[in-house]
Amino acid sequence: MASKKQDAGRGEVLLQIEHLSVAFHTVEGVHNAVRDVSYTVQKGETLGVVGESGSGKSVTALSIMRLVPNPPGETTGGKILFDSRDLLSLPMEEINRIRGNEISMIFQEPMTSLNPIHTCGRQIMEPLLLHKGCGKQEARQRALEMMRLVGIPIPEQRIKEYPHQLSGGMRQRVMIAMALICQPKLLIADEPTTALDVTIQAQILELMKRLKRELNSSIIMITHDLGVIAEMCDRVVVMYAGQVVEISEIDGLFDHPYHPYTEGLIQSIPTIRPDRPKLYSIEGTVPNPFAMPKGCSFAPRCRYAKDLCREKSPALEDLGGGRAVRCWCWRDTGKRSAGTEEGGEAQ
Amino acid sequence: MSRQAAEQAAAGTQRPEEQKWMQVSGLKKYFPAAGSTIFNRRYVKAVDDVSFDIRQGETLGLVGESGCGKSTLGRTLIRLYQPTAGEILFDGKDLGSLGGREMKDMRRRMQFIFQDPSASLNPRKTVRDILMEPYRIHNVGTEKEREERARFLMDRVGLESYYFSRYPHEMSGGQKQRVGIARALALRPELIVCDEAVSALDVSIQAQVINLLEELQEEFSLTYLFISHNLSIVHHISDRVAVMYLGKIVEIGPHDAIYERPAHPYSQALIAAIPSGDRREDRERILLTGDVPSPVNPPAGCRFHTRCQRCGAICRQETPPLREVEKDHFAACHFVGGSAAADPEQQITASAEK
Repeated sequence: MASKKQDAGRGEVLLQIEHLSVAFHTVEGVHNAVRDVSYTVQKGETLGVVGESGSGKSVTALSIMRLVPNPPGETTGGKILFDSRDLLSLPMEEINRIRGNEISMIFQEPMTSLNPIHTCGRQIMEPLLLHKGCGKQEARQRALEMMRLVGIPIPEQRIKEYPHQLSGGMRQRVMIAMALICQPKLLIADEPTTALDVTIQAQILELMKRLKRELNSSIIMITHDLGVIAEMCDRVVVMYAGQVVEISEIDGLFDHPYHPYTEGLIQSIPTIRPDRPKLYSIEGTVPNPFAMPKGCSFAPRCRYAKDLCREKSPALEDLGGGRAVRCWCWRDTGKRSAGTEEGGEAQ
Repeated sequence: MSRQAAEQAAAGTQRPEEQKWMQVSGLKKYFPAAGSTIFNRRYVKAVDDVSFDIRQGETLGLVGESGCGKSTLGRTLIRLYQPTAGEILFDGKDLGSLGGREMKDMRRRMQFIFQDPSASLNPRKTVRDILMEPYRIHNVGTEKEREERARFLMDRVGLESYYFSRYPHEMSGGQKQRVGIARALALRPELIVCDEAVSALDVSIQAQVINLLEELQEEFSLTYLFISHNLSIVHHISDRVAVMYLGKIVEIGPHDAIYERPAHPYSQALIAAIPSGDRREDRERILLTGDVPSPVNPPAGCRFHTRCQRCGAICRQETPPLREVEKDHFAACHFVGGSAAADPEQQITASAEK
């Protein structure tokens, strides 16, 4: 696999999220957006986080950056250890030193996350001026280099332009340049290609892979697109209704999903295959955050659900070998999915 | 394709055979560009001289990047936009020449499903009103019959009757899209244009809606024009696929031909760009460089030549016509038809350095 080269640095933990819980206080009640989420990011790896909208994947990422708006958001528990510092209890000045410097983030919508009244150059240079104490001339030079690196043509021209003068792909590159200019140890990419066309998406993914190789950063790749995950990631965290439901190495996940939700997700994506079997679809919808089902939150949509699942919420069970799953019946999932694959029909 | 069109035109008003159910020829839709003045007219050529046909009962997929004109084409096709030029023959009638009342009748036969279900349902109407409105507009049945039919539609698209008196904001995205589908079905249309009908939905809901569309197609013998930028979904649902680039159809053909033997360099790049779910498959990737040029001032000659790796002198000067590659499979490229098209050596691969 593509990750072989980085194996030297792997195994060392860069970021550790422990029992993180985040709640939003809304008019309708308390929405527990993130419920007891734990995962780690190792040095030099790309960790994928998948889940549907409302699964808490973005809120977890925002917590790492301390960007959850408070109020209405509130971290109700847990720790986020980055280089043995707890990001959740650090004073804001410390956080400001880390943000954009050691950890940086690429947001989904480049138009709303770039500042429309500053030139691209100024925005790319800003982290350098703030964190690295560079002079303006040097910052400009490095910004130009970075723009060239991310594939922005004629950077001398672009550096003077405003975000609205650029196309979607170019804006996303500006965001990436901004995020990478300080050579962060951790890059959080929240749906970095969702707003882009396939051909541009391919360019951006290729770019991120190359930058990871060259700068040896770790990446948290948040997306709902399993195709992107398959292409980019070493390990995957699957989230559902605010909880981690499965953690796995990438190959294991696609070959043998243990959680019924993961299995359903994989089966419900149309693939480019000559035969076009009827798509499997997970019945029902994501539960209402204000009326979470008793027991396992996936039970109402689960085809394997038993009485136990509806009664008692399962814990995240560590299966060894870097795998963990939150399901009472994960043993069945494996078996049943092997059966359905052979049967060719997954309904 | 153009030959077919000519034959079709020669056949006159004769009722078209099933193959030529809907025939589009030379269709253009221009919008005035920003900064256009009466002395200096400039246009966004959203759809520029497009010819193709839709066959009864099929699903024609229409793919392309954002801004290539695929939505405009869909809307012009059922005359939500007045075409700038060209002819749309539907069942032997030219839609462009129909008057208001005739067009209104025609609209019963063609419906639209929009991308964003939240934006396309009136927030101040209940599902009941939304579903009964088409009948009211077209004066179908009594109030009671309308309600019955609306309930039937709800049931058909898999919505619980509980939602009948609800407002759109009380429903999830997938449910709203089901209402959108039910509304499109109300008048028993023959053609439905689905413009990114599932793009706004979550993966697991997407699969539900795709399956629903397929079931309904069978049940009501519908014809779909399925517009999407998601190539995997188009692959799944379509019988034939048309690829659009900068206002022109660059390739059209049966879906397996397009996905397995794409002839146009742009289609090849598009298909190579789909992230595959399979990690072991080591595909060689054709990486397009640059962005789509502006449709206000499209490149001369072949519109793709600025990003094409096979570009020759002729491409900068002459616009290639759609030529038959194999039966029923057409591509608009100067190099298509010869052996160069299938030669993998010609596909210059991944060069992220550029």
